[in-house]
Amino acid sequence: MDSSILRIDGLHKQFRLDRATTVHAVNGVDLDLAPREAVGLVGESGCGKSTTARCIVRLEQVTQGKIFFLDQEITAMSQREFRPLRRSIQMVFQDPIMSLNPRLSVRQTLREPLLVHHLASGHEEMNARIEEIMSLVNLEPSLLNRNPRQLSGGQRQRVGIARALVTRPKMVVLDEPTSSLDMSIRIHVIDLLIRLQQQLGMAYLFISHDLSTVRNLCQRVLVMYLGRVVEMGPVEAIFDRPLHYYTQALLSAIPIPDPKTRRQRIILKGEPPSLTRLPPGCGFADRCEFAAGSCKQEQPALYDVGNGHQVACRHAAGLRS
Amino acid sequence: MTTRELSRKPDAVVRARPLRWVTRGARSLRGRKLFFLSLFLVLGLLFLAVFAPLVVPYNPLKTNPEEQFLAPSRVHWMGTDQFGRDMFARLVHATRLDLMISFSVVGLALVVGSLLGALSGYVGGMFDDVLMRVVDILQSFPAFILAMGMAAVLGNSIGNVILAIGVAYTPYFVRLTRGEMLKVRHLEYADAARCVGVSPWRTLYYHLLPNSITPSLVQAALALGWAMLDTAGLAFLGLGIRPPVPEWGVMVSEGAKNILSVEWWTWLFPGLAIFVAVFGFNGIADTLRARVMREE
Amino acid sequence: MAARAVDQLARRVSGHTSDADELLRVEHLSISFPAREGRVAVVDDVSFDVRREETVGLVGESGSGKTVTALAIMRLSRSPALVEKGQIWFEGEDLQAKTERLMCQVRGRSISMIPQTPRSSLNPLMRVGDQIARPFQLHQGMGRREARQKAREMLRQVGISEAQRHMRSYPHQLSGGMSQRVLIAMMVACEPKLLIADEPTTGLDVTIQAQIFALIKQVQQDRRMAVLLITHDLGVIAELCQRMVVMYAGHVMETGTVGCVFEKPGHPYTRMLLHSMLRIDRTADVTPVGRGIEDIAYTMTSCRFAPRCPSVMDICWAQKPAIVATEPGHQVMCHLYRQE
Repeated sequence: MDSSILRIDGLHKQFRLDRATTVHAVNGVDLDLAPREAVGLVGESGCGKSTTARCIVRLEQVTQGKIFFLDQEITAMSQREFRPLRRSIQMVFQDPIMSLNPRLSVRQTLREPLLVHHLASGHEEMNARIEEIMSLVNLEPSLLNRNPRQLSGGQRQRVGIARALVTRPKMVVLDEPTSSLDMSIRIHVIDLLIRLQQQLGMAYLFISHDLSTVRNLCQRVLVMYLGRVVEMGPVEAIFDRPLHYYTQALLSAIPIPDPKTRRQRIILKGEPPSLTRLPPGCGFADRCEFAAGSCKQEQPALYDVGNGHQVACRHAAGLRS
Repeated sequence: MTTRELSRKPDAVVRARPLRWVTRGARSLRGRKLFFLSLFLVLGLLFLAVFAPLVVPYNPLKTNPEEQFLAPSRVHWMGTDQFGRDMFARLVHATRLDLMISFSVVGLALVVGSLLGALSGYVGGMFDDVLMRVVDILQSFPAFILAMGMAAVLGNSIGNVILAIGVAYTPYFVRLTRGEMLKVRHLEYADAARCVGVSPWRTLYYHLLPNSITPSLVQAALALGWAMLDTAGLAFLGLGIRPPVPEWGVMVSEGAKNILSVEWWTWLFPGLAIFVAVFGFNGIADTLRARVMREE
Repeated sequence: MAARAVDQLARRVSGHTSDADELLRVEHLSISFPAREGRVAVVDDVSFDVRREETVGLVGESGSGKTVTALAIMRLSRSPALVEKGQIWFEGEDLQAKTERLMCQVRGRSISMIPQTPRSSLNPLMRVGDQIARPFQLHQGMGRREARQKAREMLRQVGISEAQRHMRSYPHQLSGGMSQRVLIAMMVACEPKLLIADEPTTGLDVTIQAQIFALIKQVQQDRRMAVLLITHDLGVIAELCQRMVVMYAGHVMETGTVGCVFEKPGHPYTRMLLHSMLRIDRTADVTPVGRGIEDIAYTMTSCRFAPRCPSVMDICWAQKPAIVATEPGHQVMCHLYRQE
């Protein structure tokens, strides 16, 4: 698709812990992101979503597979060649405390992207851009001279967002940006992110384990398990008519704040298998109610069930095993 | 967001008042007193060092055989030594030398050691392995013995003393900074800097190095005291600084001959001087360490 | 004496059942912390109760004083926290008045607590099996072999398969979910009458969370325990609790049955909480309200929600509201309501 801003083809990432153990973090992920689109990447810990994000921004080296950004194959580039492109792909990190240099003031933190990419000529233009981005994220200019330690959690995260946006990127990868924040602050940040996307027109790749945030922010969702995509589609389809058993369990696990709705909750048994010993077939088979014999032997492909909704399960797609 | 809400937000504003940074939140009043006392002592010594010729009327090198071994009096505040030289004058002039050596030694070790350590921790690989083995070898000798050996080989001059002790101390700073760097390298802001597009060298210099140097700085304050002792120790053994240059260790060495006889002022005052200096440096180091730990 | 009689009468009128049903009663609890201006009441005049075999949810955002209250119930408050006044009645006895030695007998045997982070509550140097066996040895005087047998049984009950293998594991070898199960096993070993669960699923994956809550529910039913569930998640409250207590900045703002409070929330804060929740079953109209508890709230002696309240009036800044029952069993502390 040439209209996509980001394209991932068959991404695999393995970490070698020592001679005997390899962690298979990402095992074949394909992804397409259109301009101005917000796509959510959800799953629980260990599913590979964070690693995928880090591969996209090249904080990790890809083991296998290709990533295309604006039709350029970034996986083939060296770090040096890729650096100028970083202006257009930015990342917001999970922990606002750790992702800001404690010794730099807010102003210095925001100045750096502009300096590195030569985006401002002279002090005045730089300050103007910094002040502009501060007001876009609803931070008072008086905070510019403060250190991260002197800011609240929500303010810090907004600085992180400002830093990502100051170069006016075309795409922003957000790795659990609200997970470390308190409940009441979370909504503010989500609201801000929605508004910013409308104002600045970037694409979002939103990584989270918090499904309720994803529901409110994204148009499409990919559900990951054990390094693979098990289901993907438009957000309404995934949330209202989930097909994969894991997606159903994931959604049913979230308590709904309404005492009158009584749901049949799916409680999965056991825990996911270790990433160092991937089962040969479907990674979910040992916890799945509907697992048939072939499920454990053959890895299911993503079956299209129409309307952009795909699911990696024969049974769920309504096919016979 | 209305302006009313903004003005009501009770954000904490930390106003930086230089010395307050160190003692703010000090757990005991005693800690605070210690700091100010140490600071006073060190500053006093620095003052003496800088203004030595103005403070003392006597020439520290001028010998006066008729006036040897005079007890402390109003004319000679600390008496005279075996050559008739005024002890007080020698003491004050020695302050210059001793402080200069201490600061130079620590400066050398800190700068070279931290840079090497930071680089080693950041780059890793073969460079790191080799450097660590060199550091291991150096550290297998006690610092003083190493300094002794080097001073003996290099010869007796002030520059060589600084070099010898400086090299002996460098491994500690290498280790400390490398350790911090290994920690800091994986923190999210290092990743964030990379994501922003900062080159690895700039990341190292602007982001990681300033954040890995704190333990080294604290150690440096301590090292000032140790350097003082090591210099004096070397001089006492006849290495490094040799008489007639006024240096506290030299003076103690000369005065030690009189330890059993009447002329107590020849060894007591230099010894006290060393004590005061080391005490001052250690006091500051202690407070710095407490402050850094509190911050964590 | 007379005061208690009046108290009992008042309760009957307001819909409370008899005293025999009541397990825990916190009365006018105030806990202070040191601050720059002196001591500040982080928990101020908090009262609520828990009856036998019921699940009560204690809900509020971070900083509302929930954990501090729970620790005080267990008499685990440590300086700088100081319990200034109030009583905590458990089965008719004032826990505040007990000696430390007697409290040790209460903890683990009558009241247990599951804290937020299971990892830091398990001894990293002791095997899991031994840790679960301890309560049996301590409170029930069992011998080592018998206690270990019971421990194995507990592991099975909390759903840890391969119980024998995990008996010999160390805590760091367990996943987050399993550590929490082990902790639950430890805490309910001696069948306490009250289990305090302080945000027991923080940091756990969503499907594991579901497992843990199912486990707590099962354990509660098997042992007929009461549960005081502390959480900031209204969804969890809706699913698991019969009654709820809403706290804000150390004040109890509203108490009542879950059905009543969700359907007709009285306090503006409760309304705000309910409306600002992101839900997965529909896209909420995300209207951010308020930014967390302000520091200044803890020093206020009037209504502490005034700085953020959309329905604030002048009197709210001057005077603390009285507690009013808007319907039987449903109480709100807000100037918007007046006792008829």
